[in-house]
Formats: sequence, C-alpha cells, structure tokens
Amino acid sequence: MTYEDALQELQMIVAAIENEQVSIDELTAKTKRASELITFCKEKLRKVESEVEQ
Amino acid sequence: MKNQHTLLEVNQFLKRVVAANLPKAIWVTCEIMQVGGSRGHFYIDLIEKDAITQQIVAQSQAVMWKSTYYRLKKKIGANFKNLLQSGIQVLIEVKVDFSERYGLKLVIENIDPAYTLGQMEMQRQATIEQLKKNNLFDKNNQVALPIVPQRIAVISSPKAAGFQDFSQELTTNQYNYSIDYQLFKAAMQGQFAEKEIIEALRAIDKRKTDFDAVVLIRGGGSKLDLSAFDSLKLCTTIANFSLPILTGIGHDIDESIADLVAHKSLKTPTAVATFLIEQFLNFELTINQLQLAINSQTQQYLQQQNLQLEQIERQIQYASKMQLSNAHRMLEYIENELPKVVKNRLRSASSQLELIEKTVDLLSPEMALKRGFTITTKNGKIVRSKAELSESDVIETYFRDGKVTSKIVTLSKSEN
Repeated sequence: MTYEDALQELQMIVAAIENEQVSIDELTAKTKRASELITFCKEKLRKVESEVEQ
Repeated sequence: MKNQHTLLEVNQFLKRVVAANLPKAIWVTCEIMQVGGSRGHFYIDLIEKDAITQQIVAQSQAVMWKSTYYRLKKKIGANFKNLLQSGIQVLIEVKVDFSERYGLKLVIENIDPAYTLGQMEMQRQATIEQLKKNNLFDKNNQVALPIVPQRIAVISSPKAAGFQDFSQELTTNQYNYSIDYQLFKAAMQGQFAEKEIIEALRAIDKRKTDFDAVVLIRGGGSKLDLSAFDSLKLCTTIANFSLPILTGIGHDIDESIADLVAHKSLKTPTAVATFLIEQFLNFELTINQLQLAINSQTQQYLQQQNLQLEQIERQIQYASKMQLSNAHRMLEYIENELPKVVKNRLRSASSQLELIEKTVDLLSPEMALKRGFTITTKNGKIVRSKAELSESDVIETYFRDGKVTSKIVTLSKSEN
C-alpha cells in the first residue's frame, strides 16, 4: 500500500461517516480500518525500507 | 638553378615579417579546444568554429607561461581556472610570436573574463530558447512528486559541503522521519561535470522504480563554476527525466537553466532537505486531521444514535404504562359495574318470568273453569266446535266442581 492509496481510503472513510452513509455495524469496521491505515502510515514515515542495494 | 632557401632563412624571414606587422599584442576571440600543462606552463590549442556548420575554420597553438598564469590568477581570482577549459569562448590578448626554432605561437598575456561571461550568457539564452521550442520547460514539472518522497537518489560529490549539509539535515530531523537516500557520485564542477551528471542520471533511470525523486545538489559557486548546469544536453536530460528532479545548487545570484527545467529548485542543499521533511510533515498533519475528523464524526454519530435509542426507550415505556393503566381502569370498571348489570338483568328476567307465569296461569284450563267456563269433551277429546257434534252424541262437561255426562238433544242452526 502506498501513501497515496492510504490517504485516499482515509478520505473516503471520513466522507462516508460525515454523510451518514455508514450503519452502526459498519462504523466499527470502518473506524478500525482507519486506525489501521493511520498507524501503518505513521510507522512507515519513520521506518527505512531499505530494499535499495548499495 | 631554383630559387631555394634554407629552412632557417625562411623562418627568420617569417619572424621579421611577423615582428614588423604585429609588433604589439592584439586581442583575439577564439575557443579553447584543449589545455595541456608542462612544468607549470600551459600549452593551449585555440580554434574558431563556423557559427552554423560548427566546422573548425581556424586553429592555432598558444602558450601561457607560468609567470603569466600566476599573475592572471592573482588578478582575476578563483574564476580564472574555469576560463582555461575545453569549450570555453575567450577573449585573450596575445603577442604573435614566430620563432625560427618552433614556428608560430601565440603568447597569451591577458584575458578578459567579461567576454567569456558575455558569451556564456548568450549561449544561455540560446539554450533556453531551444528548450522552450522543444516544449521541455515544463516537462519535469508535470512528473508528479509522490506525496511522501521517501526514497531519494542523490547526485552530488561526496566531499562537497553541500552533500554533508543535506544528509545532516535529513538524518537529524526533529520528527524522526526516515528518508532512504543513495548517493550517485558525479563531479559538480569542471569540464567533466556535464558528462558525469548525465551518467548518474542514466544510472538512476535504470532503477527508477527504486526511487521517488532525484536530488541534485552542490554547494555555492560562481557563474563559471556552475556553467555545466546551463548545458543544453544536461538540461534536456533533466527535462525528459522520468522522476521528479529537485535542485539545490547554491548560487551567488540567479538560477541555472537546470533549476528552470527541474521539477523544483531550492536555494541550497539544506533547503532541499528541509523541503523533503516538510512533505512528510504535511502528510502527517493531514492524516492527523483526518483522524480527528473521524473521531469527532463518529462520536457525534454515536451520540445521535444513542439519543434516538433513549427516545425510543422512553416512548416504549410511556406506551406500555398507558396500556397498563388503561387495562387497569377497564378492570376496575368491570369490577364495579358488572354486579350491578348482572343484578339488573336478573331482575328484569325475573319480572318477565313472573309475567309469563301469571299469563300462563290465567290462560290455563283450571283458571277458565274457575272463572265459570266449562270444557266439553267427546270420547275424551276436547270439543271446540258445534260441527264436531251430532244429535244423540254422549258428551262430558267439566265444571269447576266436577264432571257431568249428557246426551245431545238438539243442534241449533244459528250461532247463538
């Protein structure tokens, strides 16, 4: 997953919740997913992925 | 007998001719093709090219003695060494010297850096025109910079102060962001800069999927130091490149053409590092905001749902209370009224029954007899009509106080 993809998905989740298109059951799943994405991004910002060979 | 001369005679003649016609030094414009050194002296091949065909139309050898070199270096300063390089257009003051031993040589006594700069500026403008004509000016700008540029290919000279500043700024950023960069070495000035930078770019292009952006950095320098960054070939390569290129070429004054065609140009290598960190920061702030938005929206939503639920709960409670109390009232009413109703119904039924009893009584044969009527029977059956009887029939007549047996004497014809 790229930063762009994560950002896009997060924005969609926010929009869905704001527009009340989410039922109570889906809400839990979506907030959990949002949390996952945010944690993933924040970790990635601070972790070097050295797939690059010197 | 041929008119013949010795070589020495010819050369001596030429020497006199040259000395007589060009006694003083003259200013000459030309291009440096090659510079060689030996024992501190500089031997330079000078050429002139046809402006259009680029063919060499004139060529000559020149020399700059060691003493001249040091004198000029002192006079002109750091820029001086940049002037004596292949490809540079120069305006030099030369003493044309013809020696019998070595032939023609132009002895360089002075040089005008302003001319070279002027030529460079013209060349620069021409290059810009060319790039604009080929629609290359905006091309690298169109290549999207990833929202978090985390994998960087750096083109620089490892010893250059610029690179040290850059990597220092990146690795000690206060947010603990992690940026993965790899150095592709290249000379950042001098006559090999153009070639080496292009080679570095080509090497990066082969691995373009490994990187998010390219950073081209070096420390400050004068116009001549940075002339490689105005080269058409280099700038074309930059413009056409598949990754976004960020430049941080320290300048005294204006920009190189490389800055103009690159995706983004920043003032110094440190500024480039800062810019990259900023992208990370912006991204993190954005997702923080989204998190806040999600949290507050979710809370709001849940609160709403909760209120609705409470309201429904209250409605249910109220409704069921109402139903209960209604039922109670009904029950009470029945409890109170039912006996009365029942009593009334019984009473009226009772009266009715009495009435019927009385009527039945009144209508009974016993009552008829008591009232004075009689009942006539013939052969045990009650006779209701005269027609049922004939003369000499035997009949019984019942009275209140007994029975009488008679025989019919006469039947009258009329009713009474």
